[in-house]
Amino acid sequence: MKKYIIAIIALFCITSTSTVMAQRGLVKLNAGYNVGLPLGNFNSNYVSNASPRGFMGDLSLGLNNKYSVGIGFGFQDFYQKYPRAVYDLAPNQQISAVLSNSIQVVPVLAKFTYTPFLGTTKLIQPYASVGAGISFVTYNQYLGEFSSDNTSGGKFSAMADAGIDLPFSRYNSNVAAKIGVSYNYTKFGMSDAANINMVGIHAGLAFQLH
Amino acid sequence: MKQTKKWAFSFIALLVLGLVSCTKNSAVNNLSNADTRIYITQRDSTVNFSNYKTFSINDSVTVINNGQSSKSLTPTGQAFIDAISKYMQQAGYTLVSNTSNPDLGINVTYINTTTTGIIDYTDYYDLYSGYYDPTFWGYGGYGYYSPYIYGVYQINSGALSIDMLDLKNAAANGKIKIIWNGLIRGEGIADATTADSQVQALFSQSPYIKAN
Repeated sequence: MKKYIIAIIALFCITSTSTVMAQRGLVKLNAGYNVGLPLGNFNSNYVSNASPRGFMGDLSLGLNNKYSVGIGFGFQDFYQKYPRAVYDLAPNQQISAVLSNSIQVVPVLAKFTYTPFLGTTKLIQPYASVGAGISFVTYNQYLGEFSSDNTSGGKFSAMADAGIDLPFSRYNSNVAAKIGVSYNYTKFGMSDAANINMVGIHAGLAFQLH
Repeated sequence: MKQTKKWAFSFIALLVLGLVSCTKNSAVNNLSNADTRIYITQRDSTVNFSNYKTFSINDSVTVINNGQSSKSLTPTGQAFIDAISKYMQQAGYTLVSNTSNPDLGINVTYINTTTTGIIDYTDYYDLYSGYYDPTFWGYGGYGYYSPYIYGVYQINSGALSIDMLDLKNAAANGKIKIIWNGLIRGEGIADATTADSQVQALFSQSPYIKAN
């Protein structure tokens, strides 16, 4: 009996080691559709509408079967039109206008991902990742059809993301469905909202490239 | 593996193309003509508008086309003149002719450019005597004075400007002061059917214009 147990443990260790080795150098590409939900000052002062126009993804390199590093990227487009209102341009100068805020965010981040069950045959594989880097932000405010304020540039950005991968096959699947929720922060320094906070809900596919 | 790479890049290309095509970067393209318009009002803060009781309005619209002015009275221009007259009377002022010593004079100007470029509105007031002969108001030889600085605006559409002149104190001041200006910019301004609502917007954000 003892022999069998030792043999099973040895087999398990060998299998584990081989899967650990198998994940090293693994290149994965994740890409998916993303819905952005503005939070905090960004929501109250700038855009409260959810943005259904976005995507996020990353290209990662496996360090082993639990950790990978990579580059995250994405795009999110926020837009909101406010009903016509009268604003003071100066004490003796007023303007009535429909005000529109338009902002596009393109993050490029270094990411670190933890996947506790990668390399196993589990069909639900949770992951968690964190990232930091630069977001390229374009901001335009319009009064009617006239641009009244615009800024663009690269700003510090950070994110945390968690979700699950759902491999299409228990064995040797190169493709998996992916769903997750992220929190994204970008320091922007606009007049009304000093930063861009949002929650992203994303769904897409993960491809094993190498 | 090659097949997977192909699928991966096709998937990303589709994702990006789909999103770029529906991006709202076209923010202002989604606006109706009415929503594109802005209404700017400026006043002389030293003036108490209830000190004036009568007004007269120029009987035609001055059209400035790339710096060249001409007088015009189209149905649209008449609609604006009628609307201004209506809201002035609703504010308690009495309409009189320009020869009856009105306290206030009103000029309506449509500024149009056929090219996209920069127009400094200070030029508009610098050239005001050329557009509006002060003799019309009974003050031949007087100059105009405006305290307003619009700054520099890029124009690629028309603008309608309404100027309210202080004729009551012109002699005492030695000049005709422009005590209020309403400016409309955006798409579809020259439309007789919306002239009333456009003028109403200017007056509703200027509640200080009242005779009593």
